[in-house]
Amino acid sequence: MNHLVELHDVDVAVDLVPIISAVSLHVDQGECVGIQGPNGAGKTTLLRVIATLLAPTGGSGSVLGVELGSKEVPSVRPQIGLAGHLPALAGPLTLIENLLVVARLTGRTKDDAAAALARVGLAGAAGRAADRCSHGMRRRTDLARLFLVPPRLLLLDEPQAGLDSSAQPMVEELIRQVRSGGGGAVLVSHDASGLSGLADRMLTLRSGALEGAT
Amino acid sequence: MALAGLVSAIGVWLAYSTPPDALQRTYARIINIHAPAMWVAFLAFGVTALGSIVWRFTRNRRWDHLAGASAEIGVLFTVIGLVTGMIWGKPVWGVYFDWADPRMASTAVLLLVYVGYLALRRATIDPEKRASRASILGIVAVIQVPLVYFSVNLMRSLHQTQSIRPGGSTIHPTMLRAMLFNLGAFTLVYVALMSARMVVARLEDARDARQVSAAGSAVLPPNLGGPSLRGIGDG
Amino acid sequence: MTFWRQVRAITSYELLIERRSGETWSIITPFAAAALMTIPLAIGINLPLISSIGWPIFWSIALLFGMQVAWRHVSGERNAMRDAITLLGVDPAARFTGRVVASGVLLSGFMLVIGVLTVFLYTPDELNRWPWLIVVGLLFAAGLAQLATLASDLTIGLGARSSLAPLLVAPLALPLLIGAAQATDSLLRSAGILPWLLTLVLANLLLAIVGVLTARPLQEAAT
Repeated sequence: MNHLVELHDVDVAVDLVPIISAVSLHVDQGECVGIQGPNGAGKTTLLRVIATLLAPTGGSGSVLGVELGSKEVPSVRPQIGLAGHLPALAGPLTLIENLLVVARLTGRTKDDAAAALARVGLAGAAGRAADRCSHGMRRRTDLARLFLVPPRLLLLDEPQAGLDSSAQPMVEELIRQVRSGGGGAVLVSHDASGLSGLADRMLTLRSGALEGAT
Repeated sequence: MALAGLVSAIGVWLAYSTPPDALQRTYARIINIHAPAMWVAFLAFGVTALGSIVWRFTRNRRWDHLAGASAEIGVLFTVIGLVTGMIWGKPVWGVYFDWADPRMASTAVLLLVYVGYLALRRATIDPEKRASRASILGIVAVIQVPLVYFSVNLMRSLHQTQSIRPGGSTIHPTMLRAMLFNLGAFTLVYVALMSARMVVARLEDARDARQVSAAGSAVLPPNLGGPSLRGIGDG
Repeated sequence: MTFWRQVRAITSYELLIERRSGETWSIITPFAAAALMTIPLAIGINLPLISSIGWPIFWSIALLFGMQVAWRHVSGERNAMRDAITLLGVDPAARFTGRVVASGVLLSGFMLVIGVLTVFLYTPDELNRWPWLIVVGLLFAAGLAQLATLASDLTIGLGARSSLAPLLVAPLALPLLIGAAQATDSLLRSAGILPWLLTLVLANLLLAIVGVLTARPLQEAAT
């Protein structure tokens, strides 16, 4: 079976410090996998490996059919959507300007960007500079980016952090869209209860190693 | 290392045994250190570039070690070359550092370039990233070497042009013999230092590869028991 | 999306950030102006000396503070934004080129302002064929923009980035400085400037080739 994500005994060390050790997992089409673990477990690092932003130092794996660390990796990156725990925004730019940059780089229109911002309930704050917005507003804008450019593989780090209860259905909608399009999602969080309502399958990462069936 | 030391000692004796220069007197003997030191520096930076290029193709860490080690030794010999040049320059030109001399100025710039290269290596902890970034800088920086070498030909300068050229040499055979011997001696010293430095690099790799526990294992649940801390304003 | 459309998008993005933050015009340029003033104050009342060093000081200030212009928001650059652009599949060479164009535009404007200030503060000797100074300045700005962008990419993610990057740029930028300063000196003496123009053009070409060829390896080394 062709998995969207397949990792075999992956090790990752950052600046010589081992973060992840012998991690094996897979994510299938239409599946949402949740990975929970305490602080320092390596959740963000694992997510960055799956996002192809960090090459493993050991083991092997593939994402969207391309081997990790290979020269073909850049070709699959446009199909990956990552929202980390720090929003990917340029502080001096307004919320709509941040989305317009993405729109311009991906061939979308200004209307698409405005619609994405409206979808996350921030149409009224479009003209506000990102560094003058609350963390929650910036997180919503980050999610708007994923509505603007829907990915095939959705990766969310602390998906509900900073979002109020009215905003959390956005995360569910993003996951639903990705799954219905034949994609998959990986969510990481220290909060297992928050993930369990979103994920089909839960894994636990502790001190860089996965516990239980993967 | 012992052989290099012995040969160097012979080189020093040869240098002192050459007659003093008619104009520069005994100061001319410093050429036996200055010229070989600069030759080794150029050689070292060339090896750095070579190691960088080969690493980019092979991703074999030994070539990165070679590049880094050679740059360190190259910086050392560039300093020796500059200092001996300045010691010679003061009595002969009247100044320690002659800004009108393109060879001297460009050599000082060369030193700074490779100091920057070493700083980049030192600042990058991850070996793969260090090798990748340093290899790019190592290849770019070597362009300075021919610029330094040919600067005396390209621009007006107080610095003498090359003493050894395709048509022959411009210096007395006795002095030439001593200088060439010291060129060989310094090259041997370079090889000896490189060997030692490569051993150190391998030991550093072995140290880094020793099993270290995963970062997350150092994170424990908070310990909130025991006496409470006094707050600000508490009596 | 084509290479040049990506270049335009990145250039617009960078220039828009500068327009919003104003770091070049409200912080770096006044700082450079202050630096221009400290040198005559340190020299004292020696007007002929001050006049004679006017153009050399201009090029030195252009280099040292121009580096700050090229790195204007690097210290505050968020990893997340860089990752997002990487994941959008932007060609690293297009990203390099776009950033260089943006920095080059800002550097050119910065140097124009500093140049005018130099004329007023130092009253340097008049240049014959002064329009050539603009050509020299543009080549200098382009070269410095490329060098600074390359240094920025070499030092991504390093803790000492804000001090390491200038250490890498300053010595490698000296051919640009020498080319520009010698060209200016030649203009003052009504001598030919072709060798120095060629030096600057060659330096720019080399930097462009290196920058484009190393863009992808440096992007992967930053991940």
